[in-house]
Amino acid sequence: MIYLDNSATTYPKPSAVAAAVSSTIKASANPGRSGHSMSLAAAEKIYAARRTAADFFSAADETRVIFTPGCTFGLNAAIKGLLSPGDHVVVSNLEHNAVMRPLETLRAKGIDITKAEAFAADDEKTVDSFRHSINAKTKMIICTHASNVWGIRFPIERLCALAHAYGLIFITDAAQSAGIVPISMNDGYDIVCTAGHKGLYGPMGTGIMLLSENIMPATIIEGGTGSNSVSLLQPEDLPDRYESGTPNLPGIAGLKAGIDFIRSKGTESVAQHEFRLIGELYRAFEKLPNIRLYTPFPDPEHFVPVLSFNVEGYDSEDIAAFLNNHGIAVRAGLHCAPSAHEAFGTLSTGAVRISPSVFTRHSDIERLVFTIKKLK
Amino acid sequence: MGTPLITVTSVTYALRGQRLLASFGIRSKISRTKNRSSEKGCSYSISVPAGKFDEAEEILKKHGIKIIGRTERTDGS
Repeated sequence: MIYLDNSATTYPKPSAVAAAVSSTIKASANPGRSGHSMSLAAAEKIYAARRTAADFFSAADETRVIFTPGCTFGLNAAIKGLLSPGDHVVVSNLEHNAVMRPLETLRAKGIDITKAEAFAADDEKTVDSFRHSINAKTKMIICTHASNVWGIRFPIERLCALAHAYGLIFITDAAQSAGIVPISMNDGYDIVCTAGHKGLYGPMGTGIMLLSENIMPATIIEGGTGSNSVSLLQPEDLPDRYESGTPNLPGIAGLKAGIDFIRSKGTESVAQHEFRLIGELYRAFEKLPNIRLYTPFPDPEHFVPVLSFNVEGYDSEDIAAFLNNHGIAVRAGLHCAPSAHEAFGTLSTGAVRISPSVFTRHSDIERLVFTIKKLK
Repeated sequence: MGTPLITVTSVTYALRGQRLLASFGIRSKISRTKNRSSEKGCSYSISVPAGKFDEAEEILKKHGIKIIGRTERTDGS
């Protein structure tokens, strides 16, 4: 199978990731709960992963790295932990349901939401759109770092500066960018949430929420942390405050191996490889009259290496099924981002998404183009 | 004289503290805190060599590690 659905989850995983998961399952106790050697060794593994992630994202310190079961969980924790009835939020019009659904739940509790329009490859207009969406009740800007459908990359450094200029909190969803675009907490983001199993090459069921030094959302989950257990109040100390329950040690050990893998390759080198492939695909598709592309040529400043398209006369799901029958895995439909599809007029048709990884070869893209050409 | 124990809130802070102390040349060990040495319940302690108690505590405090207890282990465990 030629796997081009890496925006959903990267596959294959580096062998070191599988080895880390496997060895941890074979020999691990519950970390941070007991005093025996196995438990302490397990805690050391988590701590090492925390330090690796803190270093990778330049977090203030490792206690500001919160391991979550995925990006969605982190976004829910951030959004629901910070908003109160009467607050207003500005989001982009390309957000994933991981942002839009929690906000819709909060809308019923008196949260107001404005969607700012994204302008592909025009950062000035995008920033202006966010600026004009702010009102006196705005508390927060939430913006995906890169659209999981269209690959459009937002100027989050500028949007963060805009948020702070107005005294607002800035949260970004880095599910599609972490591992491909450098992300540094030194750039002032209040909260960055990301998946562990996409561009960071960790196992599914892993994610990270990075907190700046100045932010402390209310908790949405409380429970055992192995600390301060006489008190029925959730601990204030990080990361315990946001990590109740037994952590996913095999997953976190695998995530560390994934981040180590990306660091050894270099984020820039990974991005260059994937952009070369997506660029080749774009140029090939441009020549096919029955292919509909929706975005400009994907340059690294304004995009991540993800490309969605449609084929005239076909439903996107039919194209995905056709490709699957020819040994090519892609994702069609709405990609859990109806807002992003609405923005491009593809809510009724969906689109076919191609997302390579560091393991994708030039020949894989050639095969995709060859197969698509069979469609009449 | 017993082994000096510095109690911190969680295993993350214990590991952070241990690493920090190592960078200052102080070897330490982590253990679960006995409940009687902490009014707050479950926690972890960092044991440091005798004579390094004050220095270690000062280093930890200076680097933002909250200390919730200071005891000496005398039972040889």
